[in-house]
Amino acid sequence: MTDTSHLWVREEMLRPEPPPLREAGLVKWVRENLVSSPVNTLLTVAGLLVAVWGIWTAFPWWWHSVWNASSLGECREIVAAAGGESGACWAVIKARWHQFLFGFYPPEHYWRPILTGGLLFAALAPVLFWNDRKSAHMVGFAGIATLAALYAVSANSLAFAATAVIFAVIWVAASLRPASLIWVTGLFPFISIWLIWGGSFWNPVNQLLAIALGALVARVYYNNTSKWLNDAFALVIALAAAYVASVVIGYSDAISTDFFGKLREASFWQGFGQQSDNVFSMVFGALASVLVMALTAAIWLLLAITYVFSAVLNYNLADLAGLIWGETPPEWAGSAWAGMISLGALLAFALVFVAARNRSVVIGILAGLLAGGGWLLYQAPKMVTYMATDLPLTIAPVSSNMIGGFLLALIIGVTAIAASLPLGIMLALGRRSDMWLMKVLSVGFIEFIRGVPLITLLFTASLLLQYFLPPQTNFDLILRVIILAALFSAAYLAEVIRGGLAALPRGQYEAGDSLGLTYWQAQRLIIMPQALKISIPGIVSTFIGLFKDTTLVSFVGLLDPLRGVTTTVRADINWKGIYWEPYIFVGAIFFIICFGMSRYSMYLERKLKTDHR
Amino acid sequence: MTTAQKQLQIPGEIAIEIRKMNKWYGQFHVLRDIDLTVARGERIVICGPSGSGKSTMIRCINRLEEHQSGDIIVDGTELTNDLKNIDKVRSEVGMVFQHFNLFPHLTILENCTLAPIWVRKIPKKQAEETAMHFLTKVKIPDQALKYPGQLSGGQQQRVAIARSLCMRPRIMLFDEPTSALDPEMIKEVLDTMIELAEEGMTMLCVTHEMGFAQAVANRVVFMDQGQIVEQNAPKEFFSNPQSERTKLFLSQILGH
Amino acid sequence: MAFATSRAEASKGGFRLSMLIYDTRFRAITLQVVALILFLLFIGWLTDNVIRNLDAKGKDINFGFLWVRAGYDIEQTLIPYTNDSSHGRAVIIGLLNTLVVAFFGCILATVIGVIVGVLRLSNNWLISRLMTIYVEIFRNVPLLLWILLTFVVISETMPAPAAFKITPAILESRAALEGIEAQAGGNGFWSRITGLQTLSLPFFLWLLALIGISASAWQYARSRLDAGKAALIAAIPAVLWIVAALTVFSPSLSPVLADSEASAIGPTEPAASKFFFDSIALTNRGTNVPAPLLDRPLGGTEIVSVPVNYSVLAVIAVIIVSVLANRSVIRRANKLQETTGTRPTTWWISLLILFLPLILLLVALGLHWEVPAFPVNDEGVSQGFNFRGGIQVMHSFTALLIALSLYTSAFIAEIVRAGIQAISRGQSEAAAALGLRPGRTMKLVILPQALRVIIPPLISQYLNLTKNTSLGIAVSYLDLRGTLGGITLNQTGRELECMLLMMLIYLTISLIISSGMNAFNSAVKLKER
Ligand SMILES: Nc1ncnc2c1ncn2[C@@H]1O[C@H](COP(=O)(O)OP(=O)(O)OP(=O)(O)O)[C@@H](O)[C@H]1O
Ligand SMILES: [Mg+2]
Repeated sequence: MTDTSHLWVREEMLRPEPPPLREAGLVKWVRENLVSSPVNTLLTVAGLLVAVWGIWTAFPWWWHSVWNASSLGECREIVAAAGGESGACWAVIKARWHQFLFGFYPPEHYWRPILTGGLLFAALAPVLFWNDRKSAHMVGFAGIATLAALYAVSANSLAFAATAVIFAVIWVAASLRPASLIWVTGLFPFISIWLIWGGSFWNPVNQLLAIALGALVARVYYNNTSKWLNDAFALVIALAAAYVASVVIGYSDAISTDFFGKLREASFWQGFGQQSDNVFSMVFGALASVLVMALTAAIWLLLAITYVFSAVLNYNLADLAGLIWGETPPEWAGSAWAGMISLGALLAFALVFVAARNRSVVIGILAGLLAGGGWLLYQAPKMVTYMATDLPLTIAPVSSNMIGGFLLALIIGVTAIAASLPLGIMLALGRRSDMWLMKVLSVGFIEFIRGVPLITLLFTASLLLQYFLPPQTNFDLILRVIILAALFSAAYLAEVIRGGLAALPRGQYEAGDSLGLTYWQAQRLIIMPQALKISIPGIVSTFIGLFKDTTLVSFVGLLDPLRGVTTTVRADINWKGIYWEPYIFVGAIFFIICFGMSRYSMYLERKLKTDHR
Repeated sequence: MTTAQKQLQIPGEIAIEIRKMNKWYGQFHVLRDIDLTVARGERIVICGPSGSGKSTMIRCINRLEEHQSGDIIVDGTELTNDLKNIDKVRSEVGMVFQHFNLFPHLTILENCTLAPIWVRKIPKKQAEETAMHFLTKVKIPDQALKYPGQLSGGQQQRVAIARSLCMRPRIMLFDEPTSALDPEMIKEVLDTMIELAEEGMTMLCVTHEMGFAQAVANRVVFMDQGQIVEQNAPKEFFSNPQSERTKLFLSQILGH
Repeated sequence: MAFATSRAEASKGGFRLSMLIYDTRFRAITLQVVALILFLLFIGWLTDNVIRNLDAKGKDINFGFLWVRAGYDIEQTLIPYTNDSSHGRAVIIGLLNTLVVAFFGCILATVIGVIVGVLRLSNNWLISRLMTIYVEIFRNVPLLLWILLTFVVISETMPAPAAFKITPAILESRAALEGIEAQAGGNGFWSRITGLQTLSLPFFLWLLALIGISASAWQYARSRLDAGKAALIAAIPAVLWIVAALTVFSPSLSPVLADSEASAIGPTEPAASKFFFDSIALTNRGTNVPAPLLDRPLGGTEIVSVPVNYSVLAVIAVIIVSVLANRSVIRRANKLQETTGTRPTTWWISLLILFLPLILLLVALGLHWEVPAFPVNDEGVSQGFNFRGGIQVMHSFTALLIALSLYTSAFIAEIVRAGIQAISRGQSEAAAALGLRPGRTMKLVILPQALRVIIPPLISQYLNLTKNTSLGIAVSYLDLRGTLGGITLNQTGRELECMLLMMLIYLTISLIISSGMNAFNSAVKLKER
């Protein structure tokens, strides 16, 4: 310890020196990145071979691109005249680009989808960049791009002016207060539907009114401090619930009446067992019959129990009715279901009343929906006709089968994406729920959707939905496809989000609980923001998948850009035999959108990470 | 062990009363006949070997765990299966965890205002003022706009304390608040807790910081194998432990 | 005391209705009962609608059509099928077609995907960039585009079968050319060198490869030897490569002499030729590949009108037995290592056990390949309109297979990359610190961990690929979707039955695959403990 003969102290620090030449600059880079080992050298050469071969073969084709021609034949002549062996014939894109983009949308109305597209960017800005100043830049950029696009399709001056004014207003608002853009996001769905499909302006106004009404009702219910108002509210909504319950139970009366008889008539299991010479058919038939019967039995069992229960109740009820009304009880008292209807209504009333008095969030939402839905169903049509006579703000309606190309892909993609996120969250929560039934239902739904190809679901939308909905219901094919696509991606999202939820530590739930937050508050404020953040890559790749899958709608007869439009173009006598150009064009647009989305998700991940860690 | 139990004088109003409380995890009997009464303003330190059920007991008090028999009455509200009672108790009782459990996606300020805004329904402005008040009190007002990940462990734990205080709880539960911290950070958290104690907050604290117990506690509760083995005033507890288990435990914990 | 009253009220107050919602004991039950009732009502509503709709259309639900004559042809079938067969059999044919594409697709996609994924991680800048481009391009463009494009390209750019024919004109030109070459003094080695087309793509590529090979060889040799010897060693592959080029690829490097006399002669080769040792022909009608034939087949039988081939069964049996035998060899080696500490070399025994019995069996059965070809007459002129012999693979199949595997391989590449990256560098360093050689490190440390990360998403990619085979409809590939959900559905008009059956089948396939995945997951989890 005391021996200090080894002690040596540096007095002066050495200065750093540049590395030797072979350790710096281009030489170093090549040495490290291209020829670091024999295998690496071989790989480099192999890569060069591929690259050279690719460029060498493709370059002349790109070099001899022809932009102005009226047919493939003309293209080839021009290329030959220029001394090329082959050349790209982009003239086909120039001639048909509008179909790739809009399908058969009437050209004089192109400004409508273009304006919608521009507004989409403005609406996305707050979602994509939150309250950054970038939002305003994005709006400005979208406005300029929209005006340029309008110029390209030579839209009329009115559309021009309107667009300019709209974007100017939004831009000013966004610059002053980025948060105000959220209003554009909220209004966008209604405006865009009106713009694309046309019709009376009073339609979106009414939808908005309905929403405002619903929100108002929910807010008043949830935020008022008057006990009296709260009780009145609870009473009203409980009465509505009782009414709905009685209608629903009344309907199950209609279902249950001779349920087996109707089933037999529909002969669910015919065709099996008939061919009993065949082992396969017998086994298969037996299995299918068992399945159908099990399902039927489950439904019927419930109905039967309630029926018997109802009958017992009814016995007393009839007595009661006799007591009150004397000889002639009212009509409903005679129905076998009267007991159940009254009991169900009573129970629904009581439960909803209790929950409503305690300001349950679910009840608030229900009340809002009821109010808004009521307005849409009963009041809106009247108002539209009334207003339309005085002030007909109507633009020409465009039917769904004229919509095609990337317009269609975007409509389906954006809507289904927007709809699938909340659905996916609910399914993920259901799958992680403590409640057995919720879990089973969620798992069943998710596994079913993930187990079948999207095509079969799209066919369900076009062929089967008519069987499962009440007779004579018929609604727009695009809407049906959107619903099925949304369900499809919701199932995938649910799995992605479930992963995110599983990654959260239990302490987060416990902290929420210990602060007295309710389940939904904790989910909304604490759990979901974190779970969704963790799952961003998965969510975005599900979205990308969904957007790519919009091309499959061509199989149910919609005009998607890929198969629908390209096939139409290729069938044209002038462009017969062309294939690279349209596919490259369509592929490039898809690539830009999807690649952009994936890059954006990386940006988002980085941004959310640097924020706090 | 019943013989050695000494009934202590309990002054004033009762904050928490636990009677004959039992809890099982499946077949495993974690808590056995727990009896504990805490008066308002009392500061109790709970200690005991690992796995003795300290965390479980303290978590039963705000219903993070459900007890299966016996009664727990917190601030006059019995913890039953009634959700409204549970919510009421939880908003009256603050809890600080070993691993802080701050919300990493929210700033410090947002962490502190979240519950007051959503549970107490206090206007945002006011909630922020309260939050700043308590953040000042735990001596980190300047970190309010940072995220938890940007703070040191000790700072995080102080934020967690402030977050609980923002709900203006009448009782505070601490579950080993310092055991995930480096030695130099332990002191700053303990100082905060001592300050809180001096203001008369009712506190239940699971900790192995015997210095803290001696300085602050009115009573030390020793648990083993799911039972309360001994409780006593700190001075008595450390100088004159009654049961063999306590002696063994103390010799291990103070021995080195 | 203050709490006494509230306590009595809360716990001993008896049952109140609000407890159904606000008591933790009943809340879940209440919610579930409400949900169950709503769900069953929903199902009942659906069923009721179906019944009423069927009634309105005058239809019923009847699967009897499955045993009715189908009446349509399917071009590519694995088991015998004619248009006299039943719809049910058509369904099975479709299912088999689905499975065949899925099977080969999975294999191809895995091979490509693993290669691309590993190469993407390579520290070679060029290669990793190229692989990134590959992955991004295939991931971000719809699968349907790849299917359509592949199909259109191979069916519109490939030559007609007639282009493969040797016509009398070709024979004449060959004779004429021989005459010229004889005059010019033969077609020796030298003329090939003088005939090198130095400004052509093939030459450039060839040169590049030459440089690469010798550079790599030099680099390798240089690490062990001094510069002079290394140069000598590096020259060996270079010389070999030059010789090989001038003899084997000479037609593309130095094509027919370009002088005026030769150009006056017509083409001496058919416009198109087969590739892969002259055995595979790509035409605009399909791909003709060699067919395996047996001289001494074992015969076969039919079980429930499904043919069973004993020879195939024998091959499968031998493979299974070999694999099992190989396993026991490895197990024995493991045991020996555990007891004695040294591991016997087993690789050649394994090879022998795995392949020798199979080869012997195939020789015994008399396996040979029937190469597709035009029949020729005595002069050597091709006869007929299409290839004879071999198997013609439909373009719809080829396009679907190629597109599916390329598309899926991009996703698999990402999975592989992520899996390998997930194993921290620390792991390999720790293994190296323990003195494990890189090969052992890979096998014992990296792979077991990486596979655990890779396999679950990999299997879900297989699942996706299987489901995506249903896009075959775009190129009229008659898979399950094409038969049951396509022609059969349209012919019988039984949408409900066909769609339900189809979903059921797809669902079954998916569930089988994903339960396999779950089994794997739980096996891995068990090992973790
Ligand atoms: N969720 C659970 N399920 C089953 N057993 C549990 C669970 N949580 C805790 N236990 C068991 O209950 C016993 C008491 O656990 P508790 O966490 O209360 O101990 P502790 O006294 O806080 O210990 P420590 O000082 O290590 O925190 C332990 O034996 C533990 O294994
Ligand atoms: Mg603990």
